[in-house]
Amino acid sequence: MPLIVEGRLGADSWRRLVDWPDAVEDLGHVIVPATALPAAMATTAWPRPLGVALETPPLVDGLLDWLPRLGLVEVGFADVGDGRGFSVGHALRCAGFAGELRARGPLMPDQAQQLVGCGFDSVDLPVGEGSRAAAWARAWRAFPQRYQFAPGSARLHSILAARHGAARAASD
Amino acid sequence: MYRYDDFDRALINERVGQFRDQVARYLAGYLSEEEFAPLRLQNGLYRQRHAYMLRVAIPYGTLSARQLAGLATIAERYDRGYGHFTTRQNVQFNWLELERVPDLLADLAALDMHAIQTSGNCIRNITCDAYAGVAADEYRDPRPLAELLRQWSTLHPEFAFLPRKFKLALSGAAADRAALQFHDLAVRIVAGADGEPRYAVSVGGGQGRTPVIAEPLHPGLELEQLLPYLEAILRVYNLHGRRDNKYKARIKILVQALGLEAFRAEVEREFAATPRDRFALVGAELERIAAAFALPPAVFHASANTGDVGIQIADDAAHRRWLRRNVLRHRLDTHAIVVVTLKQPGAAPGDASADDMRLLADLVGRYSAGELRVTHTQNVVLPHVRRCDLAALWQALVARGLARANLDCASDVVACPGLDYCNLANARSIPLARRLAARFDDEREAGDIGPLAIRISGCVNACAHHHAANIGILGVEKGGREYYQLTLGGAAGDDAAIGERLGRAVEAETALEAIDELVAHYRRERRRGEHFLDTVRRLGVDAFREACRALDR
Ligand code: SF4
Repeated sequence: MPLIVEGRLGADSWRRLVDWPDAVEDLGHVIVPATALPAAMATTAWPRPLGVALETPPLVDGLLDWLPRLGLVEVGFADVGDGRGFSVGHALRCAGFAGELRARGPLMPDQAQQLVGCGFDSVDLPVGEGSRAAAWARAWRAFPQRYQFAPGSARLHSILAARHGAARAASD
Repeated sequence: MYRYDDFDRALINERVGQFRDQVARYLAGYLSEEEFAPLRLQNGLYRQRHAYMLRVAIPYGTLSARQLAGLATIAERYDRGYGHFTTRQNVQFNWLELERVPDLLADLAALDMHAIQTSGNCIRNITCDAYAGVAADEYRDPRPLAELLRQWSTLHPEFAFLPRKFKLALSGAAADRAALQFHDLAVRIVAGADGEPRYAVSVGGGQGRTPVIAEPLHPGLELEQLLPYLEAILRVYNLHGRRDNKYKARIKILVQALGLEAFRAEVEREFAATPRDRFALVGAELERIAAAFALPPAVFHASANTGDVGIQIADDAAHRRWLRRNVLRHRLDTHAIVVVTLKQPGAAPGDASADDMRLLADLVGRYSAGELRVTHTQNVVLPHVRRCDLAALWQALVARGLARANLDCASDVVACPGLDYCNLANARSIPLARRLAARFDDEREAGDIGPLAIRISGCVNACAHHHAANIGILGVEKGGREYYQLTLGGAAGDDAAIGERLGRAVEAETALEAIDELVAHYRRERRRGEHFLDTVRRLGVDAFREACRALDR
């Protein structure tokens, strides 16, 4: 429903399929359920990167091997206190996934810092959540400097790198 | 001591601003109760029986005199003039108004302090051996690593919504004074075969409803491996720990369910999948931090001047008892470690008034190179006292009633806030602690009884670590009345053990009688040099059970 992309309300260029169609025709950018991924991956004639929706972590078998052919991975969050999806996102980035990493579920704006820190680009929120878009936008930009290194994010700066970079520059 | 640099300060200040915004949005109705709860908990704020309570971190238990004086001001400005030192090297303020908490946090930030992750289902404040850096039996000061891990865990994006809380303890000494084996994760710094430090990791210890002693997970990681390994452990826990039942959600349950070998295999798999380049700066960072933990120059300066050692020792029995009981060996012969037990008769264990804090801050400035420690037994430590200053320090403490010679004795009771403050409590802890302190008030008697750890938790959450006590007391409720269940034979150190239940739960009066009988039995049966726990172990819990008539009546 309301989609936050890089902190702003955005339009969704992906369509959601409930299953993988028998006949292959170009449907544009589509997200398939994890259960349909093996069939989709077997369709070698498919012309563009695919999206996959992971309902609940942990990861699906074989997913890491398919990452290069995926343009989007959507990670489901069951509720506001269930943080498994953060580890899933982080693991996907560590495995080199470079496409769009999307969260889906009843998350709150104050979890943007975790999403960003684990490499997420977007979040698909429940109906009505669009009213908090301003809070999402603010939260998405929070803590630009952190102690941790964010996998696959150029926007976040590690304090460690800045600290030791500065020290090195000073000693040069 | 570690001092914040601009990066640390900017981050803490941003967190204060974020919390101010969260409180405002909650009060304005933009955050639901359900959403606000984890957010305030991740910043140490509880809703208690009468007011909000804030738990402030004292990372690895180290405080400066300036910070302690600042806490005194905060206690007066926002609370009723008291702070309560907890069993996890935190300090709690019990009487707060939500609207003023952001200002309190800003005052804390000005002291280089915070309340980040002192509660909630995340990595909690990291605790350490309270004598770190000064203990005579220490191999490496664990505090630089603790500060490194404090930074690593602070707002770690991946581990803010774990199945349950996650507690980490560190030590670098021969003796375990940090209750390592009762933590979710513990790291011990040990010497490798090449003489370089290695990091031994144990996992799955804990208290609460299901007390468990930790299992050894890795005998000795290298520094470069440590952080990715810890992340691997946390990732396995975050992904696989139970979330359907909060009483089965701690990592100890996961380790038990998988079995240690299978758990280790999962960790090794994650560890192998974690890119290492991100951790390349860890060595340089640890070095930077370690420089801040060198002994204070004042201490070295003093060590050159040893001429006056011992000359002021007063010929006074009480002073000698205090020297024997509360003064410990420092790694420098010229100095001593002094423990001030916050267990004056009549006070709640761990409570300190703003005046006490100021007095201690002043003494710490004068006699301990400006540094003090808080212990997991709710006491404070002056780690750098010149031996020649011991008499003067003692006199100053006597004047304030803070010179009790009862470290680790029966009157050095550890107690949680219990039903007087805590929402979850079944029974009060503080009145019972007071009565025990009064019962064993005679220092000579307490000294003769010797080391005896008594701990009181007001409910099964075991915040006072009663499972690890020689005599544990657990508050239970029956038909709306307060009862107490005793346990015997627990221990927190290298000989960690979980206490065994002793008879049925009884009323406070009977519990006190039973404790008297246990102590009397020990004094009758002990062999030369045996402490209470030694005798319990030699004779067995059953022998004590039989000697304890009060529980049968
Ligand atoms: S042990 Fe229970 S009563 Fe005591 S502080 Fe913890 S939760 Fe509260």
